[in-house]
Amino acid sequence: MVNEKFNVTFANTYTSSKADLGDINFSNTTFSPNYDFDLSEIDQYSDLNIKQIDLSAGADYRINDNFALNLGFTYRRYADDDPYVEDGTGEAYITNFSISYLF
Amino acid sequence: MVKKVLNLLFILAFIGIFAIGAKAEESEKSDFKGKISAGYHFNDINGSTAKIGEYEDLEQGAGDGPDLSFFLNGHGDNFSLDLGGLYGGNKNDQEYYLNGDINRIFLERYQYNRFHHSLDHDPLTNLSAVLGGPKVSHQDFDVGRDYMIYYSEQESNTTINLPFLPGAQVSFDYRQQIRRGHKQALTMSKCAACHITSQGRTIDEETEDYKAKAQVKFGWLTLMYNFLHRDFREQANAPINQYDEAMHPGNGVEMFDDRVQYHDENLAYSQVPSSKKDSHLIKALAALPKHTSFYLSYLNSDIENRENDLSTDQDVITARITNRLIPGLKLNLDFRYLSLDNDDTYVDVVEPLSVAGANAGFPWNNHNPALSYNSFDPDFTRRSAMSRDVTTVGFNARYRLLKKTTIRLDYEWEKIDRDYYEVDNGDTETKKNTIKLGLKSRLNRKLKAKIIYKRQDIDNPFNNLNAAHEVVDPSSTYGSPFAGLQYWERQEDRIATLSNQPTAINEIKTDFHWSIKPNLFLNANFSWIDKENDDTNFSDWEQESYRPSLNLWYAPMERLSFNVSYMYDKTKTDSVIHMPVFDG
Repeated sequence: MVNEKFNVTFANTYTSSKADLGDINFSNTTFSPNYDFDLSEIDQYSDLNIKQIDLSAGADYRINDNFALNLGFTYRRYADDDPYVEDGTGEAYITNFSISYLF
Repeated sequence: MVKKVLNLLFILAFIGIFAIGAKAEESEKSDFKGKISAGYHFNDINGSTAKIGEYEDLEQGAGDGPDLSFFLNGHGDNFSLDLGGLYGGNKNDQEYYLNGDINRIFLERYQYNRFHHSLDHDPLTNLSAVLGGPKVSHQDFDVGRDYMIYYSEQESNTTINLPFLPGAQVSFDYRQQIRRGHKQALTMSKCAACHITSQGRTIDEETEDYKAKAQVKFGWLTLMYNFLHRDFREQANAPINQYDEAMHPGNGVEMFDDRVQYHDENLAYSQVPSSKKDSHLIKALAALPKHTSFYLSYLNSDIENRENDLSTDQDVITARITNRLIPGLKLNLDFRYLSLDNDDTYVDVVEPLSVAGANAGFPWNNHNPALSYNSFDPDFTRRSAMSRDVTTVGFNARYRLLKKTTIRLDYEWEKIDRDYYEVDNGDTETKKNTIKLGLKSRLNRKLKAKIIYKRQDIDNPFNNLNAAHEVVDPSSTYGSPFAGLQYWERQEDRIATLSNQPTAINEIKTDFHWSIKPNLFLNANFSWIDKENDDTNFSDWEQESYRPSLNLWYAPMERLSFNVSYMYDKTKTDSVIHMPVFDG
């Protein structure tokens, strides 16, 4: 709270997630020529490299006993650097305002 | 529509009752306050909204309509009322609630919310990750479609405290959840898993819960009865898939028609059965002499699949004795018995005749006498791995060792006895022994620490018996489906039991809390978990995890606070992987 009439809020969440699968190697194994699979690309479908940020700020101003103005801003980002199912990378700037009647 | 009208009437009736009550108490002191807000929101979006708007309807530009919200709070000597709502600019972003009571005799809680959930759309490209040899092909018939489920849920809890019988209470609860939209549905489109197809499945599901509860208190004894009836309905049709024709992969002859259940036809898949559930719960809580309390409950439930009349019956008895007779010592003794019976079902396998090849005119089982392969009657009774009896006995004690130091000891024994499913040859039982030791201490006014060690030993965890690694007589004949070894014989010859469940678990968890200042504290946690299974006959399995975390909280002003958290997780799993190879 800045003063009796003016109030501000901030909130921020940042998450970084990483995971990966190492190369798949078979030791002491001989495959039939019919089943001589190449597994070198499998690990590419298991990488996880995601960063998320959610930043929000808000301000409330009390005009008088019955009216107040509210302004909010949110920045949200989801970044998938190794997508393998669906690339959900995106960001949004969300601005909202409202007027309130209090009784 | 009828339900909507009933719900509206219900809310209006409640507000009416409240208004009459409030009017009657008009002369007494009452206080109301509220807030009504109206506004707009604007979005500027780059890229996909699948994740940033996973549970929120985000569209470019201004919203469809004004954002509206309201709340009203009122209370007096004999009533209280709290109601509010939020309309986020479109019909899929709504939330309303109402809480109130009159004279603490009639209490009502109602809430409604509506939102959407964006779902993933798997392009199936990972199925092309394995190169060389026979490949898995895939087809997505719905490329580019966004899958989404729209949820709406309303819940009402009505409680009446009977004024003529102090300590007695009856309540009636109702919950409805509706899910509509589309999700991805996959199926194998061939006689094996080498052709995968995908399309959208329409979802039109409704779950309704009706709950009635009665509770009465007679001095030292409290009794409670709870009845639940749940209806689940899926009203959408299952998707239809055109299944491939089964034929010899080399020469294209339809010589395997006798070995498939279906092919070359349109069939429904991903069907969700409608179901219902009834449950009865009886509880008793007794405050006994010598600082002892006793709790006993019995639960009986029945879940029935409305499509095929199969059901799952469950009976659970739970008991607990708690004693605090010795100062500083709290003792608990727990007992739980669960009996779960899932219906058997007879599977009458379609046994078509082969239309070409050496077995033409015959089914696979009673095959052409001129052929020498081994077969069996494929009809069978499916017995459920869920059917089981579970008995659990637990003991725990907490003792205040020093003024600010508490020690705890927990022990639990559990036996899972499955009716049919074997976890070892001829054995359907899993037994678990768990012991937990803990120490909690307040070192000084600013420092608190806790450490817990847990050890669990499991005999015969959930195993897949003889799941892999066939060992076939070298003299067996391969290569001919009509004279040589059959796939089922190869599966019968598998000898390796596989499991990803541990036979031993060791776990240490620590928690450290430092109140540096009244407005600044640091929390540090660390856990180490080691799981291993060296009891299977072919390979060992092990998993080890380290999870440290830090949390710092700082509040420089009364209404301003900062919180910073860091968590690290390192988990290593050693497991044998068996890759079945099959190309039809």
